[in-house]
Amino acid sequence: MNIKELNKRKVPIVRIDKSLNKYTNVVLFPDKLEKANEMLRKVGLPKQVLSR
Amino acid sequence: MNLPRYQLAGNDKLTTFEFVSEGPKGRIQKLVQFTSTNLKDVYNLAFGDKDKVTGKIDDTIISNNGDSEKVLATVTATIYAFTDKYPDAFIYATGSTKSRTRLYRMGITKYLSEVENDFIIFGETKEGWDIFEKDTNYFGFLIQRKNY
Repeated sequence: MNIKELNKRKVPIVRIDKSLNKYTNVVLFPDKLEKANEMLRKVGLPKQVLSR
Repeated sequence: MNLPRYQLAGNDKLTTFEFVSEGPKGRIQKLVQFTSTNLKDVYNLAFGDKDKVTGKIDDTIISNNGDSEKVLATVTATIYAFTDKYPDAFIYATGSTKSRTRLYRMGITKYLSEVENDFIIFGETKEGWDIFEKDTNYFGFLIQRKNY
């Protein structure tokens, strides 16, 4: 599969890199997470969300 | 999206992804992370540059590596990969600055006709949430995968 064909795939091929597992339980962007939690506390989720 | 993008590496759980931006400023390692929030199934999406020397991650830096579209297309690809594994996930994203949030809005607007086949996108306003519309400013975005 060439690069063009790879780019056509919506779901990308992801190479699993075990060295990235060190980030699994680490919050790399704590400020953003805080903003997200603040938003969820104040605004919550949209009423129109799809229920599965 | 049929756009050029970078090759991705991910951790076992597909919650953290890495790719390398290539441009006039050289090779810049980027990390994308989906982090659980206080609400079940809602994840925060953030990405930034990894400093080669210190290893620290910075989501405020402006790389100016001339590849912002390719970077955004790559980040979008991580959303496909993540929601393939976690189809019930809601993903919240906002920029580290107003101008960066605006950049995300412009990116969504540009490819809205393509991504709205696969995702429902909401925009955060003062009043709450609206279905994403072009030419509207939002504080942040919430994304939900369709077709599951």
